[in-house]
Amino acid sequence: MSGAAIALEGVARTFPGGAQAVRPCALVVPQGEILGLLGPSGCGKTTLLRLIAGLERPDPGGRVLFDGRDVTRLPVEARHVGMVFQSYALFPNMTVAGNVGYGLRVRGVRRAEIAARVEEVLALCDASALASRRVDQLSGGQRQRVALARAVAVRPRVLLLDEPLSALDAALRERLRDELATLLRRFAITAVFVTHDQAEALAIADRVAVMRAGRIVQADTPRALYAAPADAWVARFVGGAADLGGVVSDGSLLLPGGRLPAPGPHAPRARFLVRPGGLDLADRSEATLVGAVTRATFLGDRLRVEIDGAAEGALVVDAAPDAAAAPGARVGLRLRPGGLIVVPEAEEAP
Amino acid sequence: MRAAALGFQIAVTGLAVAFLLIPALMSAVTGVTANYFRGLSSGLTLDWVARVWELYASTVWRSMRIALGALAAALLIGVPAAYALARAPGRLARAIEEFVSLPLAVPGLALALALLQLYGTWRGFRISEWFILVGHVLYTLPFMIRAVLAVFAAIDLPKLEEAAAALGAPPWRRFIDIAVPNAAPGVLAGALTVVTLSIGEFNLTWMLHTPLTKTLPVGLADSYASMRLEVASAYTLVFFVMVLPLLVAMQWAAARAQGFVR
Amino acid sequence: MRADDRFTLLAALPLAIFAGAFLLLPLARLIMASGEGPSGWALYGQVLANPRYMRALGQTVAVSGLVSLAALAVATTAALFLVRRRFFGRSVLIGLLTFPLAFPGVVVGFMIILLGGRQGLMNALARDLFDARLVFAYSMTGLFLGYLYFSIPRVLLTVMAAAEKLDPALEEAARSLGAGPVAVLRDVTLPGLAPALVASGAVAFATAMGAFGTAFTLATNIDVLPMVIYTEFTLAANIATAAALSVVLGLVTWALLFLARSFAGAAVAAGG
Repeated sequence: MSGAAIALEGVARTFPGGAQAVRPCALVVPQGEILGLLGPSGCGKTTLLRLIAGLERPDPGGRVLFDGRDVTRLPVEARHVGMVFQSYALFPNMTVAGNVGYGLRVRGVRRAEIAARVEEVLALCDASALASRRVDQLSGGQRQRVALARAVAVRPRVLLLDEPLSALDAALRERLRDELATLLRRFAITAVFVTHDQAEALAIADRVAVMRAGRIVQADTPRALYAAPADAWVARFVGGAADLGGVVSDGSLLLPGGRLPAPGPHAPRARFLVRPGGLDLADRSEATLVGAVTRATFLGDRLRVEIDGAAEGALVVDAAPDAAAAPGARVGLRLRPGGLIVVPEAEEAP
Repeated sequence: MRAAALGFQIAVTGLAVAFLLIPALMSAVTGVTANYFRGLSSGLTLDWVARVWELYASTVWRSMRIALGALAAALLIGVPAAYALARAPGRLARAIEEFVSLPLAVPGLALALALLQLYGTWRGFRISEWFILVGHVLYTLPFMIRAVLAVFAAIDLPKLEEAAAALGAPPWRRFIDIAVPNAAPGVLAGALTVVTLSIGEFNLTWMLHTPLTKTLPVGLADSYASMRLEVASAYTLVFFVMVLPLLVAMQWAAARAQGFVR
Repeated sequence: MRADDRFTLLAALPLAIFAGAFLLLPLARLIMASGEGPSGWALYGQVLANPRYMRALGQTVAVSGLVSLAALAVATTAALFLVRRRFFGRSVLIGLLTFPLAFPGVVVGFMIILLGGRQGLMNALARDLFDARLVFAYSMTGLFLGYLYFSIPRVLLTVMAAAEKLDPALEEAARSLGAGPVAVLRDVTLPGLAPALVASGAVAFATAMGAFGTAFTLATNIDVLPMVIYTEFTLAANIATAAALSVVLGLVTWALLFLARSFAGAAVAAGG
C-alpha cells in the first residue's frame, strides 16, 4: 500500500500467562499523519505502540509494515523509529546535547555533523539554551522537549510517543499540549502517540484511534469521533455521553420525564445518548422534558446540574453559571441542536 | 526521664567507642614505642616499623598485588555479571545470584577446604599467588555484583536501554554507553569494598597460603604468635595505615552510591 | 535467539566460568569428600552423635547468639543517638566506630590481647590500682569480646541507615497521641527498625559462626566449630570429618541468612 507509513496487519500480543493485551487488529497510518491512540488504562494502547516500535514482538501471524516493507522481525534498534517515553528516559550520564546526539553517534555520524544537527534540532524545539545542561537540571517541560529533540534528531521514519504529557503537572500539561501539536506539525513527520486523555488526543491528533480491551473500536478524525461515535461505549468515553433509554415513537423519544425530538429513520434497535452540552435548562413552557435536580456544582464558567427522573438514568447538564437550579427543584430541559447522539444497539463486549 | 535516656545513650556510645578505639590506639602507639613495658617514657622510635618492613615487606606487596588482581577480576567478571543479572528476569537469574553470593554466607574456612580438596594436588597452581587470588575473588565478587545491581535496580535500566535501542544502539553499545556509565557510583563503591576486603582477608587465605605466599593478614597472625609485642604492633600499624584511607574512601563512595540510589 | 539475549548470556559468561570452576565444582568436591572417609555417608550420623562436635556446635551457636544480641543492644542505642543528635565531631565519631569493619579476625584477636591479655591494658590497670590480676583474653570472655568487636560496626552501619529512613512524623504522631518515650521506642521506633535489626543480627550471627581468625589468634582452648574443623584438617588430617563439619557449618549459616533475608527483604551478607 503506497502512502502508508505504518501498516499493522493482524497484529496481536499475548503476554506469557495468557493475557491478551492486544487482540488481532489492523491499522493504517498514512504518511505525515499524526495519530492518537486513545483509551482507558489497560486497554492495550501502550502495548500497541511498543509493537509498532519493535519493543514487543507480535504473536505469530501478525505483520508490521513501514512504507510497505515488512519490519516485523526487526528489533527496535534496526527500525529507525523515534521514541519519546512516558518518563522521557533521558540518559543521566550525558548532557542534553549528548542525549540528543546519541542516536547519530551510534550511527557513526561525524562529530561536526552531529554538533550541527543537535543545534538544529534543539533550535527547532526551542531548547538551544539547554544544550550543555545536565539532565537532572531540567524541569519537566524541558525534559519533554529534550526527549522530543532526541527522538527526531535521527530523522526517524515514524515518531512514537508514549503518554508524552502525563509526567507533567496539570497546568503545564495544557500549555505543552498545544506546543507539542505545533512542534509535531513543524517536523512534518508521521507520528503515533498514546494518551488516556481525550482532550489531549482531540487537540493534537489528525485522527484518533479509540481502543478498548485490546481492540481498536473506532479510528476517525476528532470531529467525526465526537459527532458520530461508533457505539455507546465510545460516546460515553469521548465526551461523557449518558444513555437516555426510552422508546421511539412517531419521531419522538419517549422518556420518563417527557419526550425529545428524534426524527428518523433509525435503525431498529438504535440507542440514544446525550452529552452534558447536548441539553439546556429551559422554561417549563418551552421544555419537552422535566426532571428533579439532585446536585448542582458551580464550575465557574458553567453550572453542572445532575438531574433525576427525566431519562431512565441520571442526566448531567451543563447550564449557564447563573442558572437557577437548586437541589430538589424541578426543572425543564430542552435539546440543543445536534445534541442527540444516535448509535447502533450493538456494543461489543469488552 | 528524657535526660536519663540521653545520658544512657551517651554512656553506651562512649563505651562502644572506647572499646573499639583504645586497643587500636594502643597498638598504634606500641608500634612506635621503644619499650612497651617501660611505656612512652622509653621514647618513640621507628625501629620496630623498620624491622617489620625488613621482615614482612613482601607480604605488603603481595597483598597489594592480590587486591588489585581481585579488583580486576571483580570489574571484568562482576560488572558484566551484574548487568546480565539485572536484565535477566525470572527464577533462574535469582537462583544464580543466590548461588554466587554463597561465599558471603558460607564460612571462608569451608570454601578454602573445598578449593584445597579440588585443586590441592595441582602443585603449580596450589603454591602460586593465583590460588590465593582465586579465593579472594570468590569472596569479594559478590560485593561488587551487589553494589552494581543495587544501582541498576535504582536507575530503571530497562527504560534507559529501550531508549538507547530506539535510537539505534545495539546491545554492546547500550552496555558501554548507558549501563556502565550510569552504574559508576556502584562500581566505585564495589571496587573500594573489594580492595579493602581483599587486603584484610584472613579466613580463606590462612588455609590457602604457603610459606612463600604469605599475605599481610597471614604475616600478622605469624607475628602475633612469634614476635615481641612491639613488632606485632608496628606491623598492625602498617596495616592500619594501608586500610584506613581505603575505608574512608569506601564509606564515602557507598554514601554517594546510596544517595544516587535514592 | 534475539541479539539482546545473546549479549546477556555473553555478559554472564565470565561469571559462569569462574563460579563453575571455583565455587560449584569445589563445593561439590567438598560434599563428596565428606562421604569418602572410612565410614562413608554414615559419617554425618557419627558427627551429629559425637559429644565433642555437638558441644562445639552448641558453644559456637551460644556465643554467636549472645554476641548478636549484645551487638544489637549496643549498636542500636548508639545508632539512635548518632542519627538523632547533631554535634561537633559526629561524622568523625561515626567513621571511628566503623573503622574496625576492615579488620581481619586476627587483628581483632590482637586487639583483645592488648585489652585483656597477660601484658594487656586491663591487667596493667588492675595490677597498678588494686594489685590484682585481670586476664580474660584467652577465655570465653575474650572470645565473646572479640566477636563483639567486629559485630558492633556491622550492626551499627545497618541500623543507622535504617534509622535515618525512619519517618520522624511517626514518632511525633505517637507523641501527639500521648505516648511517652518508652512507649514510642517500644511501639514505633523498634518496630520500624525491625527489618534492619533482623538483617544485621543475622549477619552478626553468621559472621560469628564462621569466625576463625579471632579464635585462632586468641589460641583459646574453647572449642568453636571453625577451630575444630581447622584442627581436624591440619593436625588430625581427618579430611572427611573436616569436610562434613564444614558442610554442616556452611548449611546452618546459609540457611539462617536465607531465613533472615526472606523476613527482612534487605540485602543480608556476612563477611570477615
